[in-house]
Amino acid sequence: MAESGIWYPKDKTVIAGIGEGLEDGKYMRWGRATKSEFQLACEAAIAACEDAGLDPKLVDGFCSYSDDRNNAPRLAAALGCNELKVSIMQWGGGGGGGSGAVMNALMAVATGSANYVIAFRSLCQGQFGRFGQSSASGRLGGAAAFSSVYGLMSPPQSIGAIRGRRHMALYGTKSEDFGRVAVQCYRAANRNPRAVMYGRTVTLEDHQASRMISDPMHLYDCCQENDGAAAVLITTEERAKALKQKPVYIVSAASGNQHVAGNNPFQAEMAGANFGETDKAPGVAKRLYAQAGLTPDDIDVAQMYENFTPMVVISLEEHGFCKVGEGGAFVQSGAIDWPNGKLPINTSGGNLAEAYIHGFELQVEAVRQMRGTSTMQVEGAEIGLVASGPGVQPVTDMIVRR
Amino acid sequence: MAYLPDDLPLPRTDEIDTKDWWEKIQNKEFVVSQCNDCGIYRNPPAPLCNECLSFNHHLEPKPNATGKIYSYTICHHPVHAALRDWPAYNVAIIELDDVSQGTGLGGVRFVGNIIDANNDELYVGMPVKQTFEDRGGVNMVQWLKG
Repeated sequence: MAESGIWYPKDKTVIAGIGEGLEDGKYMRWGRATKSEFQLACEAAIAACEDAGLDPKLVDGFCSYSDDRNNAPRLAAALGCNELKVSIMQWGGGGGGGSGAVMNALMAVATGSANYVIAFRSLCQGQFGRFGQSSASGRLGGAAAFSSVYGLMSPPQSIGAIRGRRHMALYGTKSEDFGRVAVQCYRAANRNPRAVMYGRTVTLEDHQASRMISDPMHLYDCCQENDGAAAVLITTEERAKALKQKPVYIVSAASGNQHVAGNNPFQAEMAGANFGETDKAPGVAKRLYAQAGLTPDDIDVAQMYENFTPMVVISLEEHGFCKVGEGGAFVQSGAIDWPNGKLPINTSGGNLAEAYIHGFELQVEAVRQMRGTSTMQVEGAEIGLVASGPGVQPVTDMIVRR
Repeated sequence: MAYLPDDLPLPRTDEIDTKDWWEKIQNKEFVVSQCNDCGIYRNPPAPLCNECLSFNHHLEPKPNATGKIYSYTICHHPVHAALRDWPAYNVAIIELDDVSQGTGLGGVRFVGNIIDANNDELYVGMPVKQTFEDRGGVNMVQWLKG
């Protein structure tokens, strides 16, 4: 894998602290936060430092994604950081960039470009607009002139429904298969007092009976719209020795996009999630495992970003947990359930049921699983995967270990 | 009355990379952007060919174009204020027959509505044919059951 002079910093960088921006110990429904999105970003960053036992003024880098509004210089000023070195935004891919923010942070610390980097996301859809509603007005240009003008204006339509329908047509996947993902996420949220859906049960029957948003996406196939923030502190293995927590090692992180025919995302393979192999390149998932020196069988627990449930089914296939086209059978077999499945997923409730902090709460849960402190702990879990995305351009993912 | 409401946002037809295409569409001439050097097509129109990197292109007329539904959805939840009281509508990705977007990559794709279909008639693979529809004074590419 390594060419001459290139060295991948596998296991050389760690997540040393985790933090969240909550109110009364919980993530919030959209519009319920009384604090600003900016304050929640600061609180999450400070909490990650406190968890690690690091003075926040020593943080010298910030990484985020999806054009997070709380930019690095502003956060560095707010925390009184002694200096700011790196200020890195994962470019494109919206919520698919969470593991990319971790990847960019690990590259910064591995090269010595920064010492202690906060990777984070703060997203209050109640303060700046909900993703499920289009506020487009006037004439639309760019790609929207060829898509949004036909009423294709929101992710449940363009990602969940369009891709889910194609997968159903190609492979016979069913709505009930998508529903199994929702059931596992809600079960996990019911063990997690931070979760917005804590105390809410959703059975497969509830999923099937829930109102149709954009066929075949029911209400319970879709991620929530929330207010909250999440952050992790990344540094080198060496620096982590002076910090409080047993570090969680970042084994590998990767970012990428498949070859696309033209300048329109609807030219891509739409029964896919953008992690898979094409005849032009091995793809993000294969690169992730190759860098790690691991295979899908090595993964004990997985946080699979659910913008929409069919994308989890497809993402499981593209990460090699089952064959392409067999994701429906895989989830029906109970493989993703806890505690008896061989690959429990979304063990704090995920975007569907814990909170949609644009997927960054999945990075925090991945760390908890490695520390043994999850509210739905996979016994003996040593290696965890986070698949961000899916189905956006580019997608990202990461593998962590105890 | 158009398939979708008149107050749903309309496309810009004045952008540098697409205005020539839009002019043809306003004239009810269906055209697809084609590379002069290697012959593959792209949609939306683009300044260069991503197979051979040529910046030479033209708009190739494709009268009576046909295609198949690559995927589709039926939208129930109103995603825009203009759709608040509108009945559930379809949106499809249509793959054109015989208009290649690159070696081994199938036909060029368009997003559109199948404007004469009942929602329960649609299926992946359904044949469709190209038409035009005026909405709010802008002529748009649309699709009919094939």
